Amino acid sequence: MKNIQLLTMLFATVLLLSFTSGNKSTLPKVDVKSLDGKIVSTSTFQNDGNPIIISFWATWCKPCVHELNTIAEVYEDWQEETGVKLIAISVDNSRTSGGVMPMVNGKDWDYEVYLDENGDFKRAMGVNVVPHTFLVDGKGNIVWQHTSFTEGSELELIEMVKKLKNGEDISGE
Amino acid sequence: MKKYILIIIVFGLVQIYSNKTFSQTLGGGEVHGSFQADAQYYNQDTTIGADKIPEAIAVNAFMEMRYTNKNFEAGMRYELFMPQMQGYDSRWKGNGFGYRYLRYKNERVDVTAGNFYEQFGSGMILRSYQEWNLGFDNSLDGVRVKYKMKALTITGLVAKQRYYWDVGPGLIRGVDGQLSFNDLFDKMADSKTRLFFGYSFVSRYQSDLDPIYKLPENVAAEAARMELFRGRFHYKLEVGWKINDPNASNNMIYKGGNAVITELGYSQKGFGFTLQAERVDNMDFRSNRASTGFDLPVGYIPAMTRQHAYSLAAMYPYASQANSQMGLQATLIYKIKKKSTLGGKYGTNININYSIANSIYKEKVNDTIAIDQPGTLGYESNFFKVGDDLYFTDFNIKIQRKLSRKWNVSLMYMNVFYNMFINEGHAEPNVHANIFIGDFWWKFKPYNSLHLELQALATKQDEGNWTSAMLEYNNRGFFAAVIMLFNQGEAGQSNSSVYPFITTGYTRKATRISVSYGKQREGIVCVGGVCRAVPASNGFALSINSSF
Repeated sequence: MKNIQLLTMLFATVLLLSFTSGNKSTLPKVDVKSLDGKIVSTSTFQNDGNPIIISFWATWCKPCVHELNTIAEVYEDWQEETGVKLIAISVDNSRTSGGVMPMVNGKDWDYEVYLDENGDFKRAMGVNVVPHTFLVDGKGNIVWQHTSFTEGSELELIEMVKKLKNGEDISGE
Repeated sequence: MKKYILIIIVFGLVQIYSNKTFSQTLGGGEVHGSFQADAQYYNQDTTIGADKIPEAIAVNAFMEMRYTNKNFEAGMRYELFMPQMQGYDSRWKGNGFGYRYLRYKNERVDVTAGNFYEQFGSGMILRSYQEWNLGFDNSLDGVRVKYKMKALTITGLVAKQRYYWDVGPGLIRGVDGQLSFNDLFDKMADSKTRLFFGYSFVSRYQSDLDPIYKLPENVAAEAARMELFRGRFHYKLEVGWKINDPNASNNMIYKGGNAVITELGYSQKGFGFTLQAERVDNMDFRSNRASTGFDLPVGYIPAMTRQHAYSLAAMYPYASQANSQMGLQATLIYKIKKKSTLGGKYGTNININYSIANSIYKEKVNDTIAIDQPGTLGYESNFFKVGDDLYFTDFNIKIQRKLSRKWNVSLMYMNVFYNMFINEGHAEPNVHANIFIGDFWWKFKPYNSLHLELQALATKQDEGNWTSAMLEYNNRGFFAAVIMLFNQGEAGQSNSSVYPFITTGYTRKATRISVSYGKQREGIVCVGGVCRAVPASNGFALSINSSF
């Protein structure tokens, strides 16, 4: 028990020091699985310097599916206007992950989709509830995030993408 | 507790007065984390299993932080149940650091010491995971090493399993290998056919102190798996075995266990189909042979049924039976093209799902031994023969269509059969229910919408018919909703009850605050743009959730 306390205190010190390191936030390097079984490191996520939307979702999560459906309708326009790419990370476990590929194809979603069955990426990104959406700039920095999806959330998201594309600082928004 | 508050205040102050120039001399590094707190005040209510408590208010909360710096990572989670909310196991009561780890990771090697979550294959013989809102955490506490090569990844671990504020008695040793066949040969690298193999071995050590039986102290389990992807098809197969492991869940029988899970899928633009089957025979595997229920599972046997997100559709959910189950599930998803006669302007999504779960076939080992008799081989089973007991069936169809820029409609029908004894452990009539759901979205301004959700569950058994109506208003991050749930009561009795519930809240970026008042059943609630598992409650509640 004493060891744990010691470790805890040590760790708290490290945390305190690191809190001084400003608001830098880079995309963590974690392995996820592509829909054809390949292990892919999140460090390979790229979009030729254009913004990337990373959306955590699950097949059983109604607002998540609603979000991805809504964006799917305007996704072509978004891509043309801003060059943005959406990467959808399914947090379905082995009970429901078999339904991911049929849903993605069945709903005709044109996103890059990965499975995070063991939740490694979810934990690394601090995701507690889905949907949880992140905006990553061309250099791999997480610049904005948002949880939940209701009608109109997609408008806010593309607004942020456009601002990011124009070089505005959106970390305070 | 005071110490903890002090730490948080100091954290906050340091963050406010942080100085970037100072930080750079420390070599950077990043801190991320998340926080959640739920507080509930209870009204007097004996009907839903959430009555007044002596403390008046129950609080569940956690704060998780991770520090990363190049290849190094450390993290911890402080958890608090003061006391635990009603519906959570009373053994959670307390507070402390329930999760902490150190990790070093480069391109090849990944070493973790402390708590970690791991899954071999589908998790059949090893899966540790956490579901905070369900009060579940079986994280492993020990050492894990992963070594990655071009085509092969090997994972080895030795650990004990978290058991509320302690660890379980069993020692878990495991090794797993995942091989990518295509990466073995350069010729195969760009092939349209992708093939993967995996093998895992897990052993549990627990000393034998049993006064009656001589029990195996080291129990071994193995699983082998393959995945094949070719064009629009994919096929998965996982097979597992376990040596004899007399335990509390299998009535102390000496039979070995085995399990098979398989899946075939086909999908193309606008069409997806999956067929899954599983057979599980005596595979309940825990890090304590005396445990039952949700305590200390090492292996994970998934329920092969749809996970519903409408409260009445989720009212009778199937509980996976790791010792005896034969299941089948088929799912079909189809999108009728947009701008077609049937599909309408925006297209129409159709989703059909069917699942069935049965017992496995069991027969006596010989004339003198009864089925499942403790201290014997228990039973014999024919692999392909289906058992007599029907556990669960679920047929559901959902049609969703965007009618115009402003209107979106989903309709769902579901028929469920629910074996009461298997799923809840008490002998009441099995439930046959029909469920009807209508879900309407009206987006009257770009950021403003109203959402009406109507549900009805019709059954002659258990608590009888249910109806539910929810009206929800959303405006940017703000939401407010009223839910009225009505139970007509058992047939022939006048014991109807009403569950009124109001909730409102605000989401900004990754922070969400909500308050609610009313009476709520245990289950799943999707409101304000997220879905959450909720315990039964009656009273005032406050919930905060944030990631940083």
